[in-house]
Amino acid sequence: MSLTTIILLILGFYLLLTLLLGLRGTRAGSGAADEYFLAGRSIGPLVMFFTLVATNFSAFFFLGFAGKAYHVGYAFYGVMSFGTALVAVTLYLVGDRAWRLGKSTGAISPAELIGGRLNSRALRLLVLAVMLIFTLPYLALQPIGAGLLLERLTGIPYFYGAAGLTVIIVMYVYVGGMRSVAWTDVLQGALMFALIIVAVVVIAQEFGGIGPANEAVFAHRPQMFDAFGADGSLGIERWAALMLLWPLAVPMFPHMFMRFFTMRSARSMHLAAVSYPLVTALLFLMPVMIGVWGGEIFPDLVGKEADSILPMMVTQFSSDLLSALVMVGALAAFMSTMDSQLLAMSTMLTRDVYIEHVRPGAGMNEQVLVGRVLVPVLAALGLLIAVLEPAGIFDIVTAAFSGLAALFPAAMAALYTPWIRPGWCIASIVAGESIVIGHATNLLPDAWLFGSEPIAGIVIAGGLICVIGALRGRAAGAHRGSR
Amino acid sequence: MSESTPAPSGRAVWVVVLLLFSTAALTIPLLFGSGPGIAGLPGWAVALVVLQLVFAAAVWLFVRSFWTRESAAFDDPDRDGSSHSGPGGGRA
Repeated sequence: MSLTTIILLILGFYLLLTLLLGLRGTRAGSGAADEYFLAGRSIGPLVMFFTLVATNFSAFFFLGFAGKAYHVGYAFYGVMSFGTALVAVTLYLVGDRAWRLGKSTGAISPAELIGGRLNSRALRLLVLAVMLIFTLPYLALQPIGAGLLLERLTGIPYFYGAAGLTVIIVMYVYVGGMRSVAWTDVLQGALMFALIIVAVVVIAQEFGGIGPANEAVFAHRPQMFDAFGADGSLGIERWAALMLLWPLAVPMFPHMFMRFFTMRSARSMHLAAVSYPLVTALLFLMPVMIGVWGGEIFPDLVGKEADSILPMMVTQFSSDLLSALVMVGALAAFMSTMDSQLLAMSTMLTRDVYIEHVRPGAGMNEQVLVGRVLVPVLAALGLLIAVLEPAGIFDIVTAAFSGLAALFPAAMAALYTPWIRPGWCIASIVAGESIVIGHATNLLPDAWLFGSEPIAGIVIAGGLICVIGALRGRAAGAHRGSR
Repeated sequence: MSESTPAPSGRAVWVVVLLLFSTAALTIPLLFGSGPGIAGLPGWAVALVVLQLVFAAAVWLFVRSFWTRESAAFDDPDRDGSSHSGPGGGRA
């Protein structure tokens, strides 16, 4: 039996399992908006952990980490791991607070909570716009990656592979909403983690173990062990910038923020918070090691070619069955991010546009219907972007983390200091996004931004505006309780 | 209910923890060498793994002490006499 046939069989089984699991979500649902968009705010600790990590870690974790490490070495682990571990802190500072406020106010979308907290439609619209602008291209990136991977592995034409996976995702998101997404995240997250560990073990055996594999690399290319990158591109200022960027940006992705509303109780996030540093400490090493070792076997990959190093290594050193399974793990990573993005955007458009501006009196059933209809519409839009690949789409994706991190100071201000005037939060976001745009267009020199990433400038400018606004608001007695 | 009542929250604890661990993480690439250490990994990478495991333990301690207490108060308002106060404040 050929590798392609095995991959297709395993892929078919995985997709069927995902679909059944996803469709099962609908039977537990009651049809209310809370149920469809937030799984009835009933997600427990274990599912919360898997749904957070499966949503957070896209295919970039599976394929991109190895590809980057192939070029820069172990330093990529350094700049990615500890900053992501710090997400544990923002799960407490943002997630726990957002859940409490969401529960007491009934908020369903992030913009609804942040704008509603300060009673500002303008702020709500601005938060919505920023989240949509940076998430839609990101959504389109998932079918692009999945389609390319399927084409390379099975020969299925790029568009048909991307469209096929999208249709399956649309089916279970349409029917089961957040509950289906969360349950499939458990399967997809477990697959990702189990298969990356198996891949490392199998590949390491071919080198005589993890130690000998690393020693072989060190003997030939010691620069791959440099903490600042084989090419010196990851200096200490990049370490500092990315350590700041990940914990601020991750909770501002709408599909991550919405997870906070789904918890059953305040305790549901405890497991995820403790587990995040464990995952980043140990599992982030796996694809990085494969990428570093890959240079010993395939030394001549250039640029984006290295993103295929993980599948190449697995195919080189393991059975066809394992190769097929690892590829399914990569597809699971694509799917677990895309389904969450689809649902998050559908939710935001329903709550922040349709209910807020089109049909304020719409009932729960109508909201769910609109949300469901938006799922295939947004999926088709994502596919269209994937096919057309309009100019600038990859630039927007590159800027997505900084662009969303620019919301962080305003979001924190809204969550913790409800006496701040919304204008200060709007100014903070505008200042942050101006810095992101200035950086992306090279209008602002790196020296003005305290390094090569705009995050320090965003935090200083956006944070300062919010602090001044909060102090002034308090001094002026603008506290809502005193009005 | 007033929003201005500051709770004895874990936020202050987190600021200290965050500064300590972030500083430690940034000094690791400067203090530890690149030569192969445990499992042949770079010495600084081993140190970073250990730091994250210690950080996970710190998070666990935080969860057991501050966060669980706050969560219990929120989930069961009558348990400590307080009402639904989030980390550092009341509700909307």
